This record gives sequence, structure tokens and C-alpha cells, in this order.
Amino acid sequence: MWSETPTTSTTTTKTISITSTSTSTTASILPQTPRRTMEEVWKDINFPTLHERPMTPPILPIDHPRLRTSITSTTSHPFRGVILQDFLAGAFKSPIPPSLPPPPPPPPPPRPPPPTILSLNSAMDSGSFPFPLRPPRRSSDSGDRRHKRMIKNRESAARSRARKQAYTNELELEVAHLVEENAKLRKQHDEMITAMAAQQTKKRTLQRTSTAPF
Amino acid sequence: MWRNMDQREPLLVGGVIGDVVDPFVKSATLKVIYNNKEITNGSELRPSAVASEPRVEIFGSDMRRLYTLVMVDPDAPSPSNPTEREHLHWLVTDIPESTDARFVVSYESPRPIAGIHRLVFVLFRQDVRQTIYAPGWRQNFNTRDFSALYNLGSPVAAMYFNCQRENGCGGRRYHMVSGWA
Repeated sequence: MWSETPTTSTTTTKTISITSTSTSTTASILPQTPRRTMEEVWKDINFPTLHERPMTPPILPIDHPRLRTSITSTTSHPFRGVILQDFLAGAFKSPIPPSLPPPPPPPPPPRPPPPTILSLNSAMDSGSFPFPLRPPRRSSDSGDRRHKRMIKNRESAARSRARKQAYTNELELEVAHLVEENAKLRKQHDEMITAMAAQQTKKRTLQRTSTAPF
Repeated sequence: MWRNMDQREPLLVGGVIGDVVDPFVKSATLKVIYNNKEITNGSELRPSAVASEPRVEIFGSDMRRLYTLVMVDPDAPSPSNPTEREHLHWLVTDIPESTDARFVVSYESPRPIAGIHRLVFVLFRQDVRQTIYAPGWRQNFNTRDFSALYNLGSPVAAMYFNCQRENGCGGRRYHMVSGWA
């Protein structure tokens, strides 16, 4: 019996209820994935909408021998001639084109793979693309790339202008401040000179007074 | 408060007000001196010039008070992709009693790889001598949250300089993985 108890996570918990002939549960389910019933997985797989939805990793380990037999027995709605097992097996070999050819395994599509596969590999850099196919250099993609670069360039130019303007403003402020300080100090200096000069004349007056003849 | 502030204020034009702090009223003077040269707000320095920690002079209305200084880089790892905003370079509390000033987070020399980064100094006035704990890591520091957490209030002063990699420009042609050498 391969049922799992719901976890304490806040995501909606649905139990896996896949009946199999085995009694042991040695195979481990991929962690971090939501638990869904077979029907829900099937329902979500809708080939025309593959382009819009990111593909979550399949929750069923394909190579589990016991599971393989059980899937084929419980699956009651093969989709366009492809059953779940082969779809999942095929997903790791090559991407599925929207227009499905008859029976499995789906051949490598002559046209570029859907964006969903690309999203799976978004973390890898382009040097180690595992699939035999590379992402296409469609005109729309390069247009996008050009557009993004243009935006980035614009932002960088705006930052550069802001940087320059901020520095100029700061210099202007400093100049204004220094001019003001300079004027103040000059005034102080002149006042002090005048005061000193007044002191001098005052002293002479005093001396004259002290030598007045009797 | 935006309207009261002079729109030509360098901190505003340079984006420091907005990206790091909210508008504030300056009530202290902050001087940052690297290698015996006081830096001008918004000027550019290379990593070699700012490798060791600067001398900081504070002139405030109340010199009996203690100050906290934060130095952050809001443009880490690169200005076009600031996912690590703000990267904490230095955190000092209980200034100006310089003998007792606590270097909560030691000075980390700026070494930008990509782009031209702003390095921002923000000064807060402390109400009391208080214990400020170092954050667990330098990335994604938030000056506003830090101030709220320790009840430091609005900044009393701030200034910044620009820094890019030592040789050549930190332009797009340098393919970076992380923003720091």
C-alpha cells in the first residue's frame, strides 16, 4: 500500500493513493512536491496547454518496477494514444511536441521544444544543455533579448546621469558653502585689522596724555 | 518631507534617499577620511583607496551623545541586479567615545566586480548606550529595518561615494558570478 499521510506543510495536502501489488514502500517520493492523486496528475496534463504551464517534476519514480505495472493497470484514459508511463518516460528523453504523433515513444520533434522544458533547465547555463536540442534563435527571442538589453542600457545610462548630476550638485553646494565661509572669514579678518589699528591709535593718544607738561 | 528637501540634494539625486534611507533632516556633520583625504559626497574612489577602514569625524549638536554608523553597498552584486542589497561593510556603535566605540561588524574592503557601486555611510544618534548585535551575514542588510529594530530613528547624517573595479570599467563585458572578489 503506497499511501502517504499528509505533511504539516501549509500547501494543500493530498494523499497519493496508488494501489500496487507490493507491500513494501522502499521507493521514495521526490521531496518538496505536492502530493496528488493520479487523476489530478492526469487532469493537469493537457497537451495544448503545455506551453503555458511550467512542468513540475513527475511525482512518480518511473523506474520503480512495481509501480510501472500498476500504472498501466490503473490508467484508464490514455491520451491520444500515449499512456502515462510512456509520457513520463518520454519526458526525460525528449520533449513532447503539441501535435502528438501516434503511438509511443514520441519521436524527437523536428520543431523546437516547448518552453516548459526550457524552464526545467533554467538553472543550467547554456554550455551544458542536456537535451540533444538547443533553444532556438528565433527572431522573437533575439528581439526580446535586444529589448531587454536596451532597457538595461537605458537604466545604466540613467544611473550614470544621476551619478554625474549628484556629484555636480555636491560640488556646487560645496562651492557655495566655501564662498560663504570665505566671505565671512574675510570680513572677520578686516574687522580684526581695523580693531587692531584702532588699538594702536588709542595707545598713542594715551602716551601723549601721559607726557603732558605741567 | 520630499517637498521640503531641496531637489538638488546629492543624496536624493544619487538615489541614496529612496534606496537606503528615507528623507531625513540633517542634524550632524559626517566626515569620512580615507588616507588623510576627506571624501566628497558622490565622488569616485577605487578599491585600493578604500582598502582600510576610514577615519570618521562627527560634529553634532550634542556631542555627549553616542552614534551608530552603518556602511552599506546597495548595488551588490551589481547595480543592474542588486539582489544582495544592501551588502553590509561596516557597523560601529557607541561613537564618538573612540576608545569605547564597538566595531560590531568589522570593516570589509569594497571590491566590486561588476558595475559602479554606491557605498553609503549612514549615521544614527543613539538614545542610550545599547547593545547592537551583528547580523548573521553581510548580504541583504536593510538599514531601515535595522534602525527600526534598535529604535535609532531617522538618520542624522549620510554620505556616499562611488566605487568600481580597480582596472578598467565594471561594464557589462565582465561576466560575473558574484559581485565580490
